[in-house]
Amino acid sequence: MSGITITMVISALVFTIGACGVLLRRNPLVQFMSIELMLNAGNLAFISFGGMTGSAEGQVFVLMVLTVAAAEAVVGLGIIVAMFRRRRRIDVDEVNSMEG
Amino acid sequence: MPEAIGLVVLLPLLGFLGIALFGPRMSQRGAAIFACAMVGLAFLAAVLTALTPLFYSDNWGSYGLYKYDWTLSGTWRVTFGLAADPLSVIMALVVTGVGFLIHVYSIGYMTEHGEDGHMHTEKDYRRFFAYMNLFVFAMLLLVTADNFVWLLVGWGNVGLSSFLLIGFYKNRPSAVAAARKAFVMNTIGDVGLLLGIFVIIANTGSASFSAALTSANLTSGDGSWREWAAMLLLIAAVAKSAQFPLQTWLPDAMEGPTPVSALIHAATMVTAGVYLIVRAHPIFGNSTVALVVVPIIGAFTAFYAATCALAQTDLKRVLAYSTMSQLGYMFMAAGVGAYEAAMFHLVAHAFFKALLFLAAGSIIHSLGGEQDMRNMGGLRKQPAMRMAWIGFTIGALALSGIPPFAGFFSKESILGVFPLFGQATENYNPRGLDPIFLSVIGWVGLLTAFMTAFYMFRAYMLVFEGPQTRLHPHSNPANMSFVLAVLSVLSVVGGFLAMPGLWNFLHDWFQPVLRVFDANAGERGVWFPIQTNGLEIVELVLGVGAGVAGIVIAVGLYTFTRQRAADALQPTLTGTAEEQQRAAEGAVQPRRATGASLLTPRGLEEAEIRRVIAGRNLSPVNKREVGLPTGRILPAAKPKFNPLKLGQQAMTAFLLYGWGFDLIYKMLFSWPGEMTGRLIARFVDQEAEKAVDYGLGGMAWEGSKASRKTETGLVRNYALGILLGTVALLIYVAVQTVQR
Repeated sequence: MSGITITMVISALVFTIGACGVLLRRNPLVQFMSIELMLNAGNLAFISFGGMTGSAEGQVFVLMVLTVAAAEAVVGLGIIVAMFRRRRRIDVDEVNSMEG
Repeated sequence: MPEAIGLVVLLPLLGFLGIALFGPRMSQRGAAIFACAMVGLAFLAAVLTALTPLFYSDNWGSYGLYKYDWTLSGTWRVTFGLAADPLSVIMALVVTGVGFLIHVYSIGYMTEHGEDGHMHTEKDYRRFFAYMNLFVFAMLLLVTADNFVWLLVGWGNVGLSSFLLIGFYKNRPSAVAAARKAFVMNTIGDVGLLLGIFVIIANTGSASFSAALTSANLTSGDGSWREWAAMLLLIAAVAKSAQFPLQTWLPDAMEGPTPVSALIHAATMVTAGVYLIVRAHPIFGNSTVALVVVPIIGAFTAFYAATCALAQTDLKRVLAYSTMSQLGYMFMAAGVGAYEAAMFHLVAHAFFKALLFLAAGSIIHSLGGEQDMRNMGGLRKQPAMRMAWIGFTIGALALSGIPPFAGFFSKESILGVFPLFGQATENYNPRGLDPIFLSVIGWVGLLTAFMTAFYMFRAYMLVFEGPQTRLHPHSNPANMSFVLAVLSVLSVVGGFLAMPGLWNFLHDWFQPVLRVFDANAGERGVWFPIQTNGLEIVELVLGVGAGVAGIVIAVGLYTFTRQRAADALQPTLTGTAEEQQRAAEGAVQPRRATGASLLTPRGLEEAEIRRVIAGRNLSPVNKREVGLPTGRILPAAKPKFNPLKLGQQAMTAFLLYGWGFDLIYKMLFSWPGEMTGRLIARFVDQEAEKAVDYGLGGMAWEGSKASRKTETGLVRNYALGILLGTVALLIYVAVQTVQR
């Protein structure tokens, strides 16, 4: 099994774990962590592809993703704090006022 | 100087724009004087243009002055240009000359007798003069354009200004309805003119008179395009000149102020149809259909309008029908190729019909808006009415064709074209038409001349003779009397322009432009100078005899018989004097007769319009006004069955309605449309509405109800959707990649 295969399998595994976490957990904090997992699975794939082709572009993309993830975490945590202040409980299934 | 023609057109436009843009900064009088000055200067410029042949005769009849390319489309272009030729100049002289006089007259006419005994200008005084200048500009553009396209521009604009001026009293529903009716009728003509121009351009490649009407173009093809062009142009001429079958708008157009009736609906705009035929005479004269149809339309309209005028009780409507009748004479003459006679009658008619209208206007004005002749009477003895009496008498004599007034010369030159007893050889007949056909037309013309004299002197007797009216005429401003005096002089001397067979200034004048073309002669056709008919003693004597007979019978009937009382029992077309007075003041009066008195103003207007269009504006004679039993049948005195009297009443009503053409047109055109609309509204519209309401609306309702279920508001559901979508997309990409 070559290095690229291992990293790709790990990346896929981590991504799946993250996706399942987003879909199944009801705590937004945990969901956020899962999203981070998914992003990092993507990062892993970028880096390993970059290493395979010997270019720096994969790493550049990772830096971009990290920046975006940080910004997204700020917004997300802000929402979670606002939710907590208003409801004292944080359960995403209770936030369904957009229901049609 | 031919170049002065540009000034002729420009000055009235300046007047219109000046009043339109700076009107509020002018005083009422100032705006009126400005408008008069512009038309007066335009008249001087027209005189300057008309003097051209004295100075440089080789430049005479020049087309394409002030040339510029207006529309370019590939190799084809429409060039704006003015023509200074005898035809356009004589029209410009009439339009600016009579127009100037009528402008001066309007300064006095458009005032009201105030409570304090002084004259006050009407509301919208400036608007009136702006419209009048716009009309004069449009009319001048029409007659001086050197191509068909700019003729159409003027043609449409005179229609517009006619619409604006008929509906000048915009608070009067009947005026608004009449304006609309005139506009619709004229639009039919505009479409005809447009299509005719298309035919001309398609077959000659040019819209300009000089380039399109060449012998090569006129003889090209099998000549069928000439028939089409003539028929389409004839639709336009018929609509503008109120000839049968598009004649019904002219009597209703009398709703406008009287100077408007004099300028637009007697002297100038309605003659545009005659001008068009004379201008396009190479087409009309070489169309076999037009040579028969135009004289027939003219003769029929002359006869028809004269019969209708016999029964009218409204002074202005008598004159309106009389105008229609005289235009029929011009069509008769122009139709068979006697263009000079048609133009001569056009000019003379402009003088004496403007005089008649203005004299009628001063009577109406001084009686405070009364138009019903039966409420007048004995006005000859009123000192305030002296000038109106002289003017009206001269005009009526001229219209009846009594020498030495203008109408005698012009009407005789038309009647001289039609040999009454079928003699063909020495008479003027350039087209070689059947002498029997010509003589039939001539007899109709002669009968019309008799009826013309009769109804004019019926009007004269009703207005000026007989018992004194209870209305008190107040004196008119001096400028109105001055204009009447000038037009009276013109109505006498205007006829001496030509006496066929003895002297003929008009013949020499028209020589450069009215050269008759015969497409069937020779290879390429032949142009030959227009001939003039000689002195026709028989027609002359008969024509004058018919006029004298009409006058004698009318005067006798109204002096020695009880015809005057019989007339008073007749139903009337217009409302009572009180109503007209209120209407003149601009108040919307509730008309109980329509049964729509409780409607909103909007509904009232609609009801009024429907009533006018249906020709149902017969209202019973007001009992108090006349002091005689009305047409209403009272239960106590049931009249005996009298077929003679009933027949007479039916005949009167028939003529009063103008042979019921309004009703016929309503049944033919308006009624089917209205019924179709009602049927659609009842059956199609409502069902379709239901189908749309319960079909489309229901579908949207149910569909949204179903699709709403997917919007749970739960974040995790949306996330699942995103994931599944992404997976689907990936699978798609993967499959595509593998397949490749």
